[in-house]
Amino acid sequence: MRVLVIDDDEQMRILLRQVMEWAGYEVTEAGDGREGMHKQRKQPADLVITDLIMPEQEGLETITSLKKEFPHIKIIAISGGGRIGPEAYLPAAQELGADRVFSKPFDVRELAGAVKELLENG
Amino acid sequence: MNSPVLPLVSCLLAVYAVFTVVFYLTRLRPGLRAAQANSSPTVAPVESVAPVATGKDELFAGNPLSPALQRSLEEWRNTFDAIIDPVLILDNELRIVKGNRAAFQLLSVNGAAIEGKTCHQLFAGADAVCPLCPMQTVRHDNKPHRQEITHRYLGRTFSVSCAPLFVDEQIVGYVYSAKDISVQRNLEKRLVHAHKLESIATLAGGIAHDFNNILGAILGNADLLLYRLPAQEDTAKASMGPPITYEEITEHVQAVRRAGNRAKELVTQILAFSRQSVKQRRNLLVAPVVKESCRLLRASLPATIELKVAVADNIGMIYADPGQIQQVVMNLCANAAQSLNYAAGTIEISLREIETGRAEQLRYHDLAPGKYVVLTVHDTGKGIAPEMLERIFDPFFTTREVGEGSGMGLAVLHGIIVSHDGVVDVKSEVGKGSAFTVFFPRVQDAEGEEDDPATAMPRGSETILFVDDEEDIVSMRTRMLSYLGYRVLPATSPEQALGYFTRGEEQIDLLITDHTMPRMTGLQLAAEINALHPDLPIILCSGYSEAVTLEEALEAGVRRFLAKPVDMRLLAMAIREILPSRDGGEG
Repeated sequence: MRVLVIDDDEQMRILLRQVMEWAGYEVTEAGDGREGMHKQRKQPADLVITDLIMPEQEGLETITSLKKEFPHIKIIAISGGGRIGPEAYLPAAQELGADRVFSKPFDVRELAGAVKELLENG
Repeated sequence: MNSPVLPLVSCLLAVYAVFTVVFYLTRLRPGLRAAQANSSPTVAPVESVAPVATGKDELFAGNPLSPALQRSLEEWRNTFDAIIDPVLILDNELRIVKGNRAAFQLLSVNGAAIEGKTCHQLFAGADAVCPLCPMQTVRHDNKPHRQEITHRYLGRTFSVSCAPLFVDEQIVGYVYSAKDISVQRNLEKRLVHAHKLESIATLAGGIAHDFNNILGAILGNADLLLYRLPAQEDTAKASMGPPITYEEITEHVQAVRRAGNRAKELVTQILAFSRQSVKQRRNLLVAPVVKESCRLLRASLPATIELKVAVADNIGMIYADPGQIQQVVMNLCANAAQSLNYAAGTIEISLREIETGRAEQLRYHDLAPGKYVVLTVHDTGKGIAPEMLERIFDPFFTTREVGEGSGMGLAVLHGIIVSHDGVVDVKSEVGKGSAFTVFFPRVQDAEGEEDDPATAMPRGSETILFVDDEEDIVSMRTRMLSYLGYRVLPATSPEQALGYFTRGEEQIDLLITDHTMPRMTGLQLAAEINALHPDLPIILCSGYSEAVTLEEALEAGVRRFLAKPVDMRLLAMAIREILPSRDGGEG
């Protein structure tokens, strides 16, 4: 199974890739929402982990687009917050269709567990 | 002159004219002033009586005035009372001779007369003259002065003007006017405070975002390591995935280190942002600093970006911190490169000198008239939307910068520019590019001799062998020393340095070596080379000065010891102090 990781922070992207590979998934990376959508169309993933505050196309917009084009896709939103803190973004992500949300910094095992649960139990 | 000031001045002139008349009459009738002062506590409040009646009857009792003079007196009293700001006529001891209605309303306690009391008693509840009283300056130069004074006693802030009254060219009293500006000042304070709070909120959010990413990387990598490393009992601890390899362990540790370095950089930027004082400022020839920054920049920009530098001749000095000026240039250019997406395009850097005229002052309200050194960085990048322009100097403003840095670049620059009494302006057009223009006040020629480090640093053309085990330091020092004209032989290990001597191909004039290096210390290297070439001067640089005693250093042939991080100027001076003495045969 494939996981698409979208985050503008390269270090975070590397970490997410390592966590997902450790959990046994194939990984596609994207630096922002627009690139993420492009890669998803080319090589669809089963689950997307996306940051929320990014240049070009923000996470909330990305979640909306993903849900529209790929209605069955599982989405996990992660955020380190910004000018108004993660608590302001994450509920909005859930409302737009994110299945799970995580604040940065998060426990990698919990994240891996959530991915596994969403992909195996739907 | 502002329009509200005109009536005030007219009134003051009228007051002055009448005062002179009254004074003249008073002098004709000795004791009247004292009588007036003594009788003042019984004088009815100005507001409760017909304006003219109060003083006139006493002053001129039994001394009938002509109808014309009486009319004039009535007019002046009416005018005096009509002034909305408190106005006082004071004698030489700052006792109130006369106050207008507004003064009475402000200063009178329970309707008691204010005449005869000193102004500092009534304004400040003090027996001594207020420390900021403009009278002291007026007394000194015989000219009117204005001063803003906050009187805690009254809980108000005044713009106090004080003008002298003369008789026979001697000051005989003062006219005080105290405009209450408390509301204005409070509003300003609240605005500044609100803006500060907004900045802090923006800053805190930005810091939180960046730090959460950094913490995410540190904790995530550490957790992955812990989960994946096999337990000591050799049981399969990892719950999923293949066993961890040595390369993966290294990768995780390096990721933690990288995140730590990012945190360090962020802290530096936050501190730079919050720094209020400028400690390294001096009269500086800014042109060489800009040129050097451009040179360094050229190396770090992709070849697709064309860098055009136009630095006019004879640019004057500014009072500045060279490091911060370099930071401004580098940061503006980095910003321009980012705007070009590090792809094809042009960045133009220009430095010129201007004298502000009316056009500049209309455009840049913050710019005082005078001469300025103007730095402009223009790029052909994507530009900034008009609605963004106002906020680009706010900390962490753009989300674009979040992934690429802390988003503090322009906010930090703004702080630096303002602390240098400079002004920054930006013009931008979406799709066409942006131009940042920075105005630094030019220092008057008479204010100081050139002491710019880049040009004043002594130069030379000798050959220097520079040894340090850190490649970055070697390459940086090589660049710097080459910039000063020296020929530099770089070495990243003591062995490589010794190689130059054993091969004997190079004529080396000076050895500069780091002390703490693997396998052989700088001191050992110095001793070894000193044994072969006792005349070769040696400079030892070390971060651990306590590890080397003076005796040891001298014994190893070390001529000069410099503590790390080595200041470029000190190093340049140390080189020149050592090398000429050698040429002169003193060493």
